[in-house]
Amino acid sequence: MLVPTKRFGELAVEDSAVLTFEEGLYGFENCRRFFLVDRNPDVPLKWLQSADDPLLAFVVVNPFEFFPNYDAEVSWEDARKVQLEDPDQAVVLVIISVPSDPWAMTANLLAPLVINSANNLARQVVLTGTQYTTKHLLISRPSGTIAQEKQSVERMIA
Amino acid sequence: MLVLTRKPGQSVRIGDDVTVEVVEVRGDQVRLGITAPPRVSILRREVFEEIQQENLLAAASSNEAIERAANVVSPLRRDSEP
Repeated sequence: MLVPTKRFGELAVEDSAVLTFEEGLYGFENCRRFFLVDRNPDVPLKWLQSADDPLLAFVVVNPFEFFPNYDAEVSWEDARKVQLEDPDQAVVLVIISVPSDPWAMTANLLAPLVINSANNLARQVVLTGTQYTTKHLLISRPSGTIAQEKQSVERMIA
Repeated sequence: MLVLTRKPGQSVRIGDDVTVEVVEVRGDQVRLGITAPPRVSILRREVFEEIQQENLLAAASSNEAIERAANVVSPLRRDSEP
């Protein structure tokens, strides 16, 4: 189907690519259908575009690329709501907030998105009882001179 | 908002499935016990609002900022590839 989007123009999306968030997202409870847009495989930032609202899109990442120790323990109830039977079918993404300073971009590790790749049901879950917050820095700003920049750039590990 | 006064040990039934009991009152803190089916999500209000706020903020990230972010973050991935 053809989906109008503000950022990418009209996109051709396979029905099988549409993710259904039955309860929407927090603050966007009426936006139930989304799909992933991967403009550039070299860039870890991907887009979660609303199929219902052309203006609505979120930057998302695979949290494990930035936080290898991220422990996204999905509750039984959350798994049930997306009919998740096989944990290997679960894809976890986190939403990124990008302020004007790109070095200050943060990941919401408290409320990740859980996608069941077997049926494309998805849900934003809340990891209660953990130390995670809605704002985890993705990267550290390099320090020192330009020559040192490459070595001193590190990833923050949650 | 419906405001009721309860003593410790007393409870309130909400709908068919939810019961809230005042377990203990100590100083200015109230301990609440909530009984509800697993499908009903229970969150401290401020947690719910924080997540909502963060989603709204994330949705408002500007294209220019995201471009810059993509440029900053891509070299990191290339460096980590074997």
